[in-house]
Amino acid sequence: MNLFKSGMLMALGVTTAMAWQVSAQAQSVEEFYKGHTITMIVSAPAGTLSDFLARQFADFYSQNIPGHPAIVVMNVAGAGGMVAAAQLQFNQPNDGTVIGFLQRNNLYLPLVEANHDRFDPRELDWIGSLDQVRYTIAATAASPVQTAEEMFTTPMIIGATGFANENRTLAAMMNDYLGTKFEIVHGYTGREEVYLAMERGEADGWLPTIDGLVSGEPAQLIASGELKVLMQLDWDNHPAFPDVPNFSDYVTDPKAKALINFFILPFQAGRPLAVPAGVPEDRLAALRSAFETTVHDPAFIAHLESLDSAVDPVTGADIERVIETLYATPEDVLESARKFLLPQS
Amino acid sequence: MDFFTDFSAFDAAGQALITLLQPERILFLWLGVLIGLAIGLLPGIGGLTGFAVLVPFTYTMDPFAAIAMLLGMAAVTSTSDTITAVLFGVPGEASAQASVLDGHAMAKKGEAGRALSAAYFASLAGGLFGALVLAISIPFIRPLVLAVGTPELLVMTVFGIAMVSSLSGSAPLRGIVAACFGILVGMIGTDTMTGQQRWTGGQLYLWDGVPTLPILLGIFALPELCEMAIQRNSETPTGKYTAKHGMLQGFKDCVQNWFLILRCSSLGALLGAIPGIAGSVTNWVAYGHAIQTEKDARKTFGKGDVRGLIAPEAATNAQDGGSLLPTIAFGVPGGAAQAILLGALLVHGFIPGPDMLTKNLNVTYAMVWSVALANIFGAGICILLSSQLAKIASLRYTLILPVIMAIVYVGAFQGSQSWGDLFILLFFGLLGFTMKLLRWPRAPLILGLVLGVLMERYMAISIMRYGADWLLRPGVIVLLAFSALVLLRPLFSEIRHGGVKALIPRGMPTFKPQDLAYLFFIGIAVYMLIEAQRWGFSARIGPTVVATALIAAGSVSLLFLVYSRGRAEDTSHRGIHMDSPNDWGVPNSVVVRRALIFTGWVLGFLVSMALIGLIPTVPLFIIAYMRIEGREPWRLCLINAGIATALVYGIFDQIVRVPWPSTLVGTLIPALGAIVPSM
Repeated sequence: MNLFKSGMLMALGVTTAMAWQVSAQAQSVEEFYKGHTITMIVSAPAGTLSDFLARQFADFYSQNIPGHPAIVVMNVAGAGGMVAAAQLQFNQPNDGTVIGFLQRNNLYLPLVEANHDRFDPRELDWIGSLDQVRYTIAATAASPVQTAEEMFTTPMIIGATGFANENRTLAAMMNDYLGTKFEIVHGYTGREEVYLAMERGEADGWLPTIDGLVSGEPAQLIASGELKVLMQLDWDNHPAFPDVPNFSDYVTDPKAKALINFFILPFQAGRPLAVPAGVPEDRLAALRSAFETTVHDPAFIAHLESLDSAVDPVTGADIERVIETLYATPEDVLESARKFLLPQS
Repeated sequence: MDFFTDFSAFDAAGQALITLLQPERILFLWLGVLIGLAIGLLPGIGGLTGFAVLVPFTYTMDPFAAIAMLLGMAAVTSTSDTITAVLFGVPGEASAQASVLDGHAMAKKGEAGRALSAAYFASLAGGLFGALVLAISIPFIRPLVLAVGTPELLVMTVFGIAMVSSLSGSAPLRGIVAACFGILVGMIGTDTMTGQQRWTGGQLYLWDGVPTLPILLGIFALPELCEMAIQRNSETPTGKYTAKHGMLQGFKDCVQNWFLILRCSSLGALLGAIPGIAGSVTNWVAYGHAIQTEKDARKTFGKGDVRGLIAPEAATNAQDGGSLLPTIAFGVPGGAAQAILLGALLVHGFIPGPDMLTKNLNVTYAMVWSVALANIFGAGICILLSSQLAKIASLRYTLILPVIMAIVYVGAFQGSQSWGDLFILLFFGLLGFTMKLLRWPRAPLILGLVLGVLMERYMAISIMRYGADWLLRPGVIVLLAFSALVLLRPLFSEIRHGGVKALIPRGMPTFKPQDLAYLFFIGIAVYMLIEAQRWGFSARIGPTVVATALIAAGSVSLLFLVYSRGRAEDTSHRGIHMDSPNDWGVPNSVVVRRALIFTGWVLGFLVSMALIGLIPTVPLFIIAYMRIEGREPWRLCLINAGIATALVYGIFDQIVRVPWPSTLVGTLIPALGAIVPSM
């Protein structure tokens, strides 16, 4: 083989390689997703409400991503969603083929717990959240407390689930910082058990979310007067309960205000979606815009409504702002928060 | 009673039956039943996996067809899980653990056909009874469930734990040690009451606690597989009965023991209605009940007494009906499986609660009918096949063992889908084998594991809510008295037999190597006890009490043992050892060698899984085992391996979408990892 020929061949080879590389770089988002499947990691077990919502969302979402990639749902449960979150940060490819359907506690627990497997929500890129969470306090008709005012004078038994669950920590914080007289009995395994305890007189009330009050049996209980919302745990009211008092009616102490903000801010990102850091800009932008299109798609909204669920979307940029604010929380506020979230000896 | 004069309930029941009898709905019911039977057959893969697989498909189905399929599946897993329990001593599901003791012993006596037939008829009777309980209690469900507060739930779990004494046979103190050990293992993880992480060592894996599934498989399945490898045959002599005769005899056994079936079915339905009590406990409680109440049971149970098989089988199938009670009436799931079912119901717009008993009464009855029909279909299929199935037991061990082992691994991996599950499987496999070898009762460990945490939580709620007053509730007093009677029976019988003197040790102590088992349990308890003292009061009180009880019971038992050695004693009043006997018919040196080879295979599977992934390991393992251990023909190896691999790949990779752990080869050669499933 003479020198000229091999030189030509080499040049040809180099050009081909370069051309191939250029085409890879120029591969549009649509071309990329045409050839790939997206894995959606859901941080809750199969059959749960989160899993159900994720699967409903996935069907519509895939239609709005350029190239319409199939989305496969994979359940990675464990440690309150932290297993999935940590996996997304450390072990998953960042080419845009893996999306995490995470939980809001992933946003703030790493701040208060030392032992969180090094997960850091700032290391992910956030796509958006399907809904926002708003807590209330509700009492049964048999409860000794029937108005928000009475919460400060008369004891009532509040049923709650786990120790670190918001439906216990918020009540405990109110006792300490607002002077309510709740006797908290926690340890019930789920909201159904709490309702059962209320019905048999073991508890006088609990802290339900507005989501959980506007449909299903609780909605009927409210309509019939067997359940009464005493207060909304937010700075302003959700349209479903416009007339009940909220935090702005009772909280003046700036310390209490700061702590409350730390607790309720993550609620804005009820069910957040994220991708690992480093996903190419154009794909991330496409995933975010597909999210926006999906959550405002009337067909998706109607579909969820037919299943008694609602969309209350938040953008990825908003979630990143929430995380930024959370991570700017002063140490003394974090220290006060730890008292409610971490075991006390 | 309005209910009985009000024909609308009968109308609804009739209408529900007609609705359900539409061809396509019955088709889905059949489909569910077939899936359920298959799932029950596979060790470690239970109704929970079944629900997780099926539920996403039902989101878009006709609601009645969806209910029929889901309940059809769930109702029969505890029918077919008996097959592997009886034939190989490996329970197909947690609810078939107790069936191993007498069922497998019967198979060893050549009565496999009779055992299977008796088990199916008992399952059928139990299942129908459960459906009936569900049907007739519909009008009373709500007041009934409302009458039971947390303190009552607490004492029901105490009653379950008290069964430890009758399940420990001749070794009640060892039973207490095992039960306390189970409770302590159950307490590992984040404590719901205090948020304290107990003995997690900072491992994310342990936050949610040690998964039960790999423990169950380790304690009960691995030791039996090891024995199969030691004995090198499936040890079933040619049947004592002809196929038809065996089937008939099984039916007769059930008719003769109708009252036992009735009692155990009631027990099953009742326990099923308590949230958190799963089939893994119910079968032992029923077995314990049968030991206590049946004539001469203490002499024959564990040696192939058909009553020891009928009792748990009836109870576990009845439980399915019972567990639907709180789910339907209050939306409180009886367990993880019911929680998924509940989600499916909600998706179809059926909100559990009063509506299910009025507006949606037909849906509720459709559920009752689904359970009843599924039990008839499921048991029917099994009964028709029982003589054929019994023949599987005569297959060579080299055909069966590698397949079951591969499935046990995959099943254990479903615990929380991580490597930890497999380490837990191995640890408890070793523990289970040692316990069986040294005649330590294994059932109490499972009772403690499941009931311990429930008890701790119910106790905390009761005290927080009622102070000490909860002890004064009538239901609490009655059940506590019952529990005390059950628990203390061995002590009374010991005193009656030898007077109080019998309790005082005398003579010189003699130690033997097997006493190290005591040191193992006591050592772990001491370590856990010390660790626990760093936590807040509420988080450490439970562990402290349990660990102290373990240390006390273990020390007393050891003391007795070392002092009573060398003295001939009449121990017949203590009953027999509640486990199948260790009689392998080969010299000890062979036993040790074969046990070590088996351990090598077990570890080899893990190594291969770390290298190339679980799915490629399945065929590799099956072929290697069959070729090396049995010199089986290649054709047979390939067929056996092919079927098992297709099954694992189809269900776990394609349908469940298990997130497989990363492998060495897959990391080194990503291109290969991208093609080969689970690599």
